[in-house]
Amino acid sequence: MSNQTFDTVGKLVDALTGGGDSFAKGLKERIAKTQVVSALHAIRVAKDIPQSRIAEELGCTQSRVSKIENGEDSDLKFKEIEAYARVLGSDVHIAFVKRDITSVDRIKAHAFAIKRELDKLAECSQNDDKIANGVAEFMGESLVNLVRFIQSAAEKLPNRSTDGKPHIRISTALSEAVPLDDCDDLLPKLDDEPDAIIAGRTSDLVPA
Amino acid sequence: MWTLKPRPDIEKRLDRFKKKWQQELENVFLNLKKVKQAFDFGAHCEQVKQQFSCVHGRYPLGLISIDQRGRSKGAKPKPFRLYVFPEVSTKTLHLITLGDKDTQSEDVKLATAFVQGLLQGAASPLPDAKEGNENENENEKSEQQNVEPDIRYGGQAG
Repeated sequence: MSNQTFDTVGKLVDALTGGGDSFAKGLKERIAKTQVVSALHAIRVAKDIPQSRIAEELGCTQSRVSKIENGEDSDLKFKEIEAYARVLGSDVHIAFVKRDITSVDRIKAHAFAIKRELDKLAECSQNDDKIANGVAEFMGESLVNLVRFIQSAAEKLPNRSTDGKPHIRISTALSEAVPLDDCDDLLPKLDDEPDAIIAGRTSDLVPA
Repeated sequence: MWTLKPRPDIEKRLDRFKKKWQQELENVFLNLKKVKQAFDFGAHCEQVKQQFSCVHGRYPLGLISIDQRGRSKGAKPKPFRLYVFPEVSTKTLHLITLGDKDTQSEDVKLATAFVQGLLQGAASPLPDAKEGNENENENEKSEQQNVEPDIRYGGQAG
């Protein structure tokens, strides 16, 4: 236990208690019921906005705001969420997501959302060379970063039980000297043949 | 994102208290969740101390404690404190110990000694509070030896 770290209080408590006892269950139920109020409270604190400012926007007392922040999501009215968002400088987005959605489906949904936003950026660049250049650089950065995210996740996979090799290897090779059309020339320079190669000129792919 | 790192003492203390004082302990960990979330959103230690009524910051070296304020079943809730050190450089919330009024002064001493050790990268083992002096294990010794000497502790802004 002494060297373990946890991303969430839920995982921490599961590890501390074995997960099945009434304490862990009770706490996780309460965490589930306070997702929105907890986030509103946390963002308000991070932005250094006093409760009085929220109270002013809501047209209520500070003690009402305190009650909201210490209450449950089911006690929140939508107009209160909107008022909070206005003060925090945020917009409210509501998503209807398939129940028990899988991680794979979530990733696909995010990928399509990225594609939509990139298409919008491309559309904005049509009549302006400077904007188009900026968008192109951003697209290059995005490509490198996305590949790095997938690479990092792939490295966490266990090796194949049959031969001890990785299930997938993703290598990135970025070189000023290699033209985009000659990617095959990169293969001998890599230690093991990977399953995916991302290659190009560094002038085209700008690392973040 | 910040991570939570509990000392073994936390598990023992939680086990001791949670059957009789479940509501209070749930409140403590729910408050911990909110505090961690604020750090995740970029809050500084001073903001957390000022804006969360459940957070107490009048300790040395950036140590804070989180209490059991929140939902209660009628009667006045039993006071508890979870002693936490926010290590800014590594975005780690060290959960040091958990106690009530009876163990408060020992807990503060233990927690302060832990933070001193962390900041100095000291190798000395830390005794568990009150349950007896089992020496803290070798892992914690070597963990402290590996700590960078220029850690920015929770007391500094940003």
